[in-house]
Amino acid sequence: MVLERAFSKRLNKKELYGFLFFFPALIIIVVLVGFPVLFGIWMSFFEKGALSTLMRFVGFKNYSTILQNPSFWNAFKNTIVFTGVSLLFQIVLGMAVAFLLNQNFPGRTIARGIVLIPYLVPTIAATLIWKWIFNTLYGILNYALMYLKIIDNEISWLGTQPYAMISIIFVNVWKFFPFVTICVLAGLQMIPVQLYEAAKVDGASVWRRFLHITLPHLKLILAVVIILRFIWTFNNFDLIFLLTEGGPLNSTTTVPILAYETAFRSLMMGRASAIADLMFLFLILIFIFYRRFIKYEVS
Amino acid sequence: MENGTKRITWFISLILILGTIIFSSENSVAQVKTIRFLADQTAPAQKKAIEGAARSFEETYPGMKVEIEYTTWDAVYPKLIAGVAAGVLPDGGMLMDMIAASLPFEGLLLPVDDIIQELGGPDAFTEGSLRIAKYKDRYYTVPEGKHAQVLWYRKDLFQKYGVKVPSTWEELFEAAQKLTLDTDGDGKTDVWGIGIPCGRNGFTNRVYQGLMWSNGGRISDRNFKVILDSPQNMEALDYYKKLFKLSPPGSSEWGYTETMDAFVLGKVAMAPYYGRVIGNIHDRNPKIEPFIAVTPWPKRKEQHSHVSLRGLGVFKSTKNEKEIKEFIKFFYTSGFHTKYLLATPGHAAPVLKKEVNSWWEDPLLQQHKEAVEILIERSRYGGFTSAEPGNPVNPAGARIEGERVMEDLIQKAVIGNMSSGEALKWGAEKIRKISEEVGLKQ
Repeated sequence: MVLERAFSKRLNKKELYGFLFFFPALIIIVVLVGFPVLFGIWMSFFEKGALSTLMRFVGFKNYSTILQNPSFWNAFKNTIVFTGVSLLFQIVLGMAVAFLLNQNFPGRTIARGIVLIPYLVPTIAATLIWKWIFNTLYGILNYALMYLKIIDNEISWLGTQPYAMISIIFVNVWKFFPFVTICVLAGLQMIPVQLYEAAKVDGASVWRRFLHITLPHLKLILAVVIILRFIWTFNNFDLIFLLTEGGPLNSTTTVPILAYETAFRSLMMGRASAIADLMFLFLILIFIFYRRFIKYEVS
Repeated sequence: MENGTKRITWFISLILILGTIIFSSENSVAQVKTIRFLADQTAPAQKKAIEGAARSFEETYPGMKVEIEYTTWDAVYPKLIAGVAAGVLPDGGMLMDMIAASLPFEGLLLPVDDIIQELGGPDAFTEGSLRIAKYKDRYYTVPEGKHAQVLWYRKDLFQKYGVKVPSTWEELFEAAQKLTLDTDGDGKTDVWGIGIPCGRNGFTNRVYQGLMWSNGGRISDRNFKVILDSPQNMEALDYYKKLFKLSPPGSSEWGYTETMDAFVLGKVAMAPYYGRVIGNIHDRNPKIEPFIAVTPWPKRKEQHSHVSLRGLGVFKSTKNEKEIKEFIKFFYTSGFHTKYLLATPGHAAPVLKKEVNSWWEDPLLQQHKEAVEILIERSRYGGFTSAEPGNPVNPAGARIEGERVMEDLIQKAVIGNMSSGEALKWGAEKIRKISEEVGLKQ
């Protein structure tokens, strides 16, 4: 609306200042985000060797090659599994911890700080630590499980299926559930306490209070958290690459990893751009459907 | 303040700030010329040698500045790709074997015949050093070092359990079986017979290739026709699977570091690796240092192992050709190249004949003289994916390595459900496709 009025020259001074403050950020977004996206879409219609500046127009050939390649569908399947399962556990664990941190108990402030630690640790540091924890011969996880006689022999957590997928999902949940916790906790603190008191007086159980008071108040927050975590998890590259590099046997190769390998190992930039663009298209479609679903739910 | 005064004050401040930025810049064109050098060896001792060469060059040539740009060796390709796209490649750099072999085909390097001549000509280099340096009668890289893969073993364990040092595949398997030990009697294996990597990385490929070549197999023939799915390669892959069963749990994730660590920390009685083991055991586990020894990979029809041939190159896009070539020459003539080689004693054999005597003066090399002699001797045989033994340099080699075809097929056979034949057939199809895309008729 501000933009429309800016272009129709009906802005007042305050709105003009607001627009001027916003304009540099818009330029940065256009240059640093918009241009690479558009360039990537354009490059996907060309054959381009990574070490060459020559480009040959091939139309939709890159797209048809990718969509007929079993490796792409394997990567897509892995991405859906990784995203879906990670998201489920992030939401459930994040909400559970948020409910806990919303209670009054001694040390609550410290607990709230500690819960944030996984989210604050840089991904590279976190993955190096977890790589050592999961190490088959020297890792503390195998040592503890064998000491407690839960397992008899070491498990190769990152080197065998299905443990590799389980491990990367675990680390992803550990790293990002605090984001869900913080968002949900903020939402919980906005719910008037009187609603719970009134419901208790009326004899509503814990479950009914959750269903009819808590959940409706958290709907919008959860809607935003879910879509953001979905997009960020679907796009996740660094955590998986650092832990397993897509192995063993491509069982943890996701679409972002495939795009990277196509660009920097197969040295095919056009095809890599096409993979990235297919990801982009998929996420846009998901967002459109999701937005319609949320609008319907809210109304 | 009046509006006019305010404007003048802002304007003068802006001029002063801009002037300070421009004129205090170290890169002021009139004063210093900067050359950018890519280095993919980041171990502290190696960095010290490279930095030493850079600083010494700057003292010798006032007005020159050398900026070393460090990267890990597996990040070199992404860096080069970004550099090509943005037109900001460094002036020169260190190139690992497959990259040194492929960049001349891509037309990204300048000839360095002048540097080779100034260093004494081709005869000044040790045998085999120049194997991948030449492309279409011009030299495009100056050899940096040769790294041979050998079989490290624990003499003490072999002696204690009366096991013969293996010289055949059968003896190697038998030794690995006998040296899988429960040393503390708790019913669990503490020392495994051999460490064999099977992670999705170049080292898995390089260990298998030694077996493949020694059995007379190749990825391609001399005309680059793919012959990967041959009975010899199948036999080698079956043998790899057999050996892998005697490797510690978790070796399906192993690469260079994990395999070397397993030997250095005493977890395995034997492991394939390069000369870097010497420095690592000396620093990290000196109590077993007197008991380590080396033997070549067992002979079969031939006797080969992976030999890496690294090189220094000058990128075609450089605007400082004279200066970067001067720096590369200085690196060799100033003694810093020898220091760089000795930063990882025994790991890289010298490539210049005149360096050999001073290289041998290192006390650690003298302490492990027998092992180092074998490492040097083996560096004359073998090859790598782009330069298989007896074959010309393969233009598809970098893509084959980059796409991890070999390690994927090894994983499919060793930890997946595929038979060796199926895995090799899968790999051969992929490599044929790559070869055709690179312009090699199949």
